[in-house]
Amino acid sequence: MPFLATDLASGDARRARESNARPPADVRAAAAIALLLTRPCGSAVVVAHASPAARARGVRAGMVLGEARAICPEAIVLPHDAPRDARTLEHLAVWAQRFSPIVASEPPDALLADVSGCERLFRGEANIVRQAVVGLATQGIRARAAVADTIGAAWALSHAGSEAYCVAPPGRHVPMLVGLPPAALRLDSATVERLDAVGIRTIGDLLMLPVATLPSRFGDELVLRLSQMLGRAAEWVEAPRAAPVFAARMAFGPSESRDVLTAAAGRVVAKLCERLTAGGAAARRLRLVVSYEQRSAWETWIGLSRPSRDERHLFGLTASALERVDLTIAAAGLMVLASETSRWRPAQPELFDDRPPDDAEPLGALLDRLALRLGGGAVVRAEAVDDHQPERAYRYVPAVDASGRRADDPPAGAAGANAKTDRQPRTAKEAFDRRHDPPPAAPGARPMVLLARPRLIRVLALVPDGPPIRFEYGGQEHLVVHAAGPERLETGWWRGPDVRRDYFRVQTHEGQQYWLFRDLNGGDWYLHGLYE
Amino acid sequence: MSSVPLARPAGGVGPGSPPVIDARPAVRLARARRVLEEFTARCPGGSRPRRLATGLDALDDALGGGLPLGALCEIVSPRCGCRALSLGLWLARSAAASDDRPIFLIDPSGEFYPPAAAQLGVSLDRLVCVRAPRIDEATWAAEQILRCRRAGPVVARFSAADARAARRLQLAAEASGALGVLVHHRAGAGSFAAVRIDVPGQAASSGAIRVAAGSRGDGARRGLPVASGDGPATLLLRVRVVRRGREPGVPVLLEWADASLSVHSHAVPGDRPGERRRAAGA
Repeated sequence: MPFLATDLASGDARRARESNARPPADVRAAAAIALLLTRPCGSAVVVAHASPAARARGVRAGMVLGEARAICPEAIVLPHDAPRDARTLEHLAVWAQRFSPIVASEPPDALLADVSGCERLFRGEANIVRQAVVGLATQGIRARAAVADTIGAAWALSHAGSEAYCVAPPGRHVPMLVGLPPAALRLDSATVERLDAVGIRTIGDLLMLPVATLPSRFGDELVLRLSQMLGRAAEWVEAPRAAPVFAARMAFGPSESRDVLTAAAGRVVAKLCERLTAGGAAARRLRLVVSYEQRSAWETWIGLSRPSRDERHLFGLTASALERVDLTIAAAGLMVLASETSRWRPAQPELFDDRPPDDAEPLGALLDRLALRLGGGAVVRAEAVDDHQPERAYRYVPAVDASGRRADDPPAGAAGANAKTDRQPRTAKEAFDRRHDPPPAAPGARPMVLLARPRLIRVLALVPDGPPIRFEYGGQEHLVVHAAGPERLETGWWRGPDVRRDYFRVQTHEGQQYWLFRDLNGGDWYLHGLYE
Repeated sequence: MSSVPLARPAGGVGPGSPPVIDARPAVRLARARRVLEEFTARCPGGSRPRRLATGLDALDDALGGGLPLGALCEIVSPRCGCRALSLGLWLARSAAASDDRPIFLIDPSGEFYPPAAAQLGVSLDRLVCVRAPRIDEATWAAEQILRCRRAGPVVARFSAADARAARRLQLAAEASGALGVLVHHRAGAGSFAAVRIDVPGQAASSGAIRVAAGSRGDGARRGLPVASGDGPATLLLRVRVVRRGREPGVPVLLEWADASLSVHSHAVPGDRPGERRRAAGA
């Protein structure tokens, strides 16, 4: 598709010229437009692609825009949208799967397909390339196509051949290539220029040279491309397979009954689980869509703690989520889509399997149910954070994180602050430092309850820097019978104002233990936690 | 007197946290032992173990052989700041030590501080926090977790709203054989707990809770203000175990040594209600 960029942009060009005109429906309409697609190049703007009409006037890619305008003043100039071209090429690769299941995009403007064995379906390879060219032309894209024994030969014939489509007979593609220029071998421009400088203008000239001398003169790539073209080096079409979509839907007569919706959910989930099982997959995230006749659809998502295709589990989650559906207006359909899936990996049984019987609910299902009812942020696991400031010494993560680690999985290793000290030293310097550095001081006992915000309290102390002897909290006065401390924390200067605190663990005359601190910046006393 | 060193916190709480001790072989051995016990229990004539030793002999004696499984355990403290939640997590940690099931903590207030649990020896990797602010949601979550056989012990910081909710929690625990620990500040009227542990918040001078911090502890015992203590204190927590349908047991003194991260338990003889003390002098 040598004019893919300009063919795709021709619709924009036509709209730019005639605001109410439709985009060109065929190749001839697109070819009639002199179109220049530009890209910035330093401080200048150069032509990235030129349509055939502009090329006929002498405009070439890489030409400065001002020069191109002087040659072709009527040309329409548009910025080149390279991402759109890439997206379109991927879509065309999917479209071309009607000719072969193995199709790959070859940016910026080519498609590669392995049509081995497909000719029987089309009554010959010639029909494949002809239908491909015609099909692309109906989409407004001019294309050339070729079928040969090797990818290199097909690429050369399609890019440099004289015909719009051709088929090289099996085993006889080399004679068709000898007259083509060396650039058809997918060589870079520098190699092509070096070949041209020594008078090698065709592939036939190249084949007459001793192969042993080519790498030292023109690089290894030339030999590789020649070998690929001749079939002496392996090359195959690497077609990324689109992930299969697992979904099930059911339409029913408009109903305001929740029982109908639940019954439909049972059938739809059963069908989805069948498809997941057949595809060897498990769902990690579900999307529920309830459709109405008289209003827009209602949808929601359900995140799963671990991949699942258990029908009972998925139905339970779906039914719970559907309880939130507004049925004052009759629903008419339900779709359940596994929007995120992963490969199904059955658990390895152990010799001494002490797990509960199979009818027991998996822990992941319990976490899913809790998160669905209470919200994902309500079912969490704490992780230690290497920070001296107490309120920053931990963080909450979902009970199941993105890597699928569960609360009942074995720990991956020491987390947080201990990770640095528990592992073996990696270098001799680290081992030396660890031997000679004094061990960090262990933090004092922390309270089991930490207030979200330290609470300002009134405190009486005998000396300004000393521990409190009494304080007021909760509308009553507490007499301190013991105080341990201070534990000084100074940290957080890189986050803004310094955090400088002297912490005291105090016990009151009623036997309660509190965690107080004196703010060294302002001198105020705060209650921060309770030894609950 | 028994002494059980607490495991080091797996997650660590700061740069100075002690290294993690890999106890996996011990865990696997304990699991194998539990499998054998359950297998024996299934055999004709076998008896299913219904109690789990906490490792604190005096407390186990007061509990009648250990923590009852498939039941609720209430820890009631009339005041906050009396280590009731710490005791609940310690019991849950003991119950979960023999397998790899996670501990669930239901925290309606959202003020639970995980590093303190790590200092207590609870692995943060095996602690799932459920933050349900409403009491009905917290009760629902506790019931769901208790019913799940693959979940570990549950520690809930609330009391059941009514007798009906308490009964539901008790039935859920019975159905799965799990341990539920309810930590709250008032004894519920409709409690269905098999065991209640009272943590009285009495004056330190009376001996309910006192701190012995090196040479500074004498002032606390006299009920006088103590200016300061340099080192970590040792907390003496006197609790009383009340088993359902029985007389209150002998008080148990729990000694929390923050310095060595260890807990000791002592029986306090001669302190049974109604029992007269006698002294002999010569």
